[in-house]
Amino acid sequence: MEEITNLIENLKSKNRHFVNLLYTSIIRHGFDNTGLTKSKIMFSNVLLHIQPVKIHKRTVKFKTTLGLGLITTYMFFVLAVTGIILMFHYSPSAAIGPDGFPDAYSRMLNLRSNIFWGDFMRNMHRWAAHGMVAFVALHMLRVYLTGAHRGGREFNWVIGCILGLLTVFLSYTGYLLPWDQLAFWGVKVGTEIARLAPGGDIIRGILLGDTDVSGEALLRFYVLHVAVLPTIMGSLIAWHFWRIRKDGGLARPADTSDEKQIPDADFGEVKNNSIFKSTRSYKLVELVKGNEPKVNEEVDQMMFAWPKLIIRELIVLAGVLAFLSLLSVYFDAPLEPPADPANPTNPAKAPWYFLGLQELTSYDGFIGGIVIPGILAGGVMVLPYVEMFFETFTKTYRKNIPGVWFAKERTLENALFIGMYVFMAVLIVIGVYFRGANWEIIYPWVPVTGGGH
Amino acid sequence: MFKDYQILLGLVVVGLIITALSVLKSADIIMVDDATYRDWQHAYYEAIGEDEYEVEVKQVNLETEGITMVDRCQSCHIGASNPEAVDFEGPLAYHPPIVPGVEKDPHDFNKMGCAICHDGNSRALDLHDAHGELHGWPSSLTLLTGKSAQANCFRCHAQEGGTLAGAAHFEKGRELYLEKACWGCHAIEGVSNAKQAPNLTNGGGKHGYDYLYESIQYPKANDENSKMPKFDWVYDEETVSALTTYLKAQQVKKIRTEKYAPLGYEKPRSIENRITEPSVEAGRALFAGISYMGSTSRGGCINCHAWRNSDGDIAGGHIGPELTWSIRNRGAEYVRDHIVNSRMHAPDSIMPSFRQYNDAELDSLVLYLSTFDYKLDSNTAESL
Repeated sequence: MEEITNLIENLKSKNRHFVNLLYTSIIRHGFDNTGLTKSKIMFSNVLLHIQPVKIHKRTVKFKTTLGLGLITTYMFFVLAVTGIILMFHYSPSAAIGPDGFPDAYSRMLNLRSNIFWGDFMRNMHRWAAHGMVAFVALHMLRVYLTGAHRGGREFNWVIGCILGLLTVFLSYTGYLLPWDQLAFWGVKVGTEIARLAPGGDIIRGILLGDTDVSGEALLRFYVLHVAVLPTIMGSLIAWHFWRIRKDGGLARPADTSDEKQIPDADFGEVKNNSIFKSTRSYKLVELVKGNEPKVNEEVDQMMFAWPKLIIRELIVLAGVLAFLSLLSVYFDAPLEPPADPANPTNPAKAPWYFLGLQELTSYDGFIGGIVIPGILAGGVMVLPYVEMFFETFTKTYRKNIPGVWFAKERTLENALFIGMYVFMAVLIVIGVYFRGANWEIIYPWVPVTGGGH
Repeated sequence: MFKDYQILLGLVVVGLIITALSVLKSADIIMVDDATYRDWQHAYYEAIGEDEYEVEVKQVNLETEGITMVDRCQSCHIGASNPEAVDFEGPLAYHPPIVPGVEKDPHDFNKMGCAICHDGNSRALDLHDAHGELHGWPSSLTLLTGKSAQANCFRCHAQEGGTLAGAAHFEKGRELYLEKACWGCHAIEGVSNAKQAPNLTNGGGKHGYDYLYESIQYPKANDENSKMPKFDWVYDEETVSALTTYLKAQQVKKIRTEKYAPLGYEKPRSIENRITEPSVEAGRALFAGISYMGSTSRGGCINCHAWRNSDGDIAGGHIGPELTWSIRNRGAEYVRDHIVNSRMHAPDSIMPSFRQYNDAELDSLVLYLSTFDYKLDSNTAESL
């Protein structure tokens, strides 16, 4: 009897040992409340280690970033996942099938009518795409208004601007793929604007592979949309994030000692079992000479990224997913009749983010379609360097306080930047709601067909 | 107020609920406006007294040269092939045989589906989606009901030459198209090559039944610059409907090619049987728009032009000038030229050019027009 009990005990302990080995081979840390474990969780996990082990307490506050960059990133992930699912059901062919539909359009009907969850996936992809364009713009506004584009982060701003342009271009190339009237005429309008630029005809020709929007253009837009642009985008996102880390996390004022921060109790007391008897786990960095980013950190204001930051990021993720799903359940992505090059819609509108440009173009093709957008896009991209230039060569030196909303010293810049946003927003609203057939001014409640959403 | 993890859990639960909603919606369980195919199948099996049955999507895959057409109409229209279901309600009812008077209809709905004749969105299971009522559904593929479905016989069957049993409505439309001289202005490949008005060779492929019907009835309804006259027969529903069915059948895209076509296509007739000997009778037939001794030459002057008989009664259309005195006033040469090119004499004339007439046909018409002899009877002469 006793032998059997011993045997069972023996087996139990061996089993515990085996399970323990199994566990540590997969997850190399526990979940206790010590600083070492919290560090380990962050740097032994491939998904988490892109973030630092310790972050400034400001980082987790909602008002620091409003979560805008994070939302944009999540939308990119949603788009990647739903996009891959949609790719299984899509064919970039404009060949007319025996039922009278171009193949690509026929796939849209399949998605809407006879593929399980197909409509939901398409809706998700559509709304996330529009959402991403909007949130990229908001994210850029946030960065500028908090002055986070300065203080060593100027080049990251440039990368961000390129990412923004890529987002718009990705959304635009995807706009053509359903091959319906909306897609065809939206892209037609956009590429006609490109024609106004010097050398625009060549760019347009390369992009379309034809003299007009055709099956060839569909194939090119498809390849750009599913292979070329996402690859560039993914790489640039990685670079964007990497630079944020190398710049020492989110932008913040040099001295945050009197800022009211989250009390330690909120994210748990950390037991200190570090051999250095400090909550920091990377003391060595402090031995580096000079003004390196990790030097002069206010240790009191630092906290472990696990679990507070991760939980809050997951909250944003869950929120984005829930919101997009809700949108996709109740609002269907538009689908107009199949593309018909002979019958333009009236009005023929570009996607909403180009409607500001289209509105400008309707006053003057070259100035509205090329000069103003060129100055805006180019100017915004080099904006931190323009500021830097003026500060260096004139006596209008302004003190930059990164990470502070609406800093008094930057009132002029902020006002100009907001003004630009308002200008574009007004143009877009006019383009979307107040333009009807023949591009005449209408009331927004007059029904129109074709474009703008 | 709330701990972070509570907010996270709450949002995850909300997200899962919404995901479940999307699955249920995709499976047509929630957010459906009408009875689903499941409801109809329950009703059907109950009506035929079947206890053991399985509710399923009834899908017909129609192989064509290009893509496979998915036809799911019979998920609701489940009694279409069952003669016992002849009195069943709405979508469950039996579809009468397409070829009248045969024992076994060669049209097997389990092989060809429904949309091949009736159009609509055959992929869909939702009522409005399937019947092509959703926004953005191309108007050229809206549902064809009743006799108008004969327009689609010609997606598979021969269109030119010979009549097709059962397609009487279409045949009537074809006769009307020739008789009413539509061909004088409109071109249909193999019928005429007039250039006056839009080419209708793919009229049915481009436009829907309603659009065509409306355009015949009110020519300016869809094109305000249309020069097409409004004919006086446009309120006869049967006539316009037959004509519309004929026009709807003018589709370049066929579902099946010659290889697969059940009866085989015939190419448009190239050898035409023309009038070779001028005669008054031939001219009369041309004027009336009817066929003369099997000839393919058609006229139809009467649709626009009128003449008076000896009693002073006027007969014919009122769109063009009355022709009673034409030969006497203008002379045979003038009338002949006018038929070939009316704008030679009247630059703003909307009369189509009948260039394709040969000499015998033109002579026949002149001969016929010369027979109009309107004589004042004695009473009228006295009163003058």
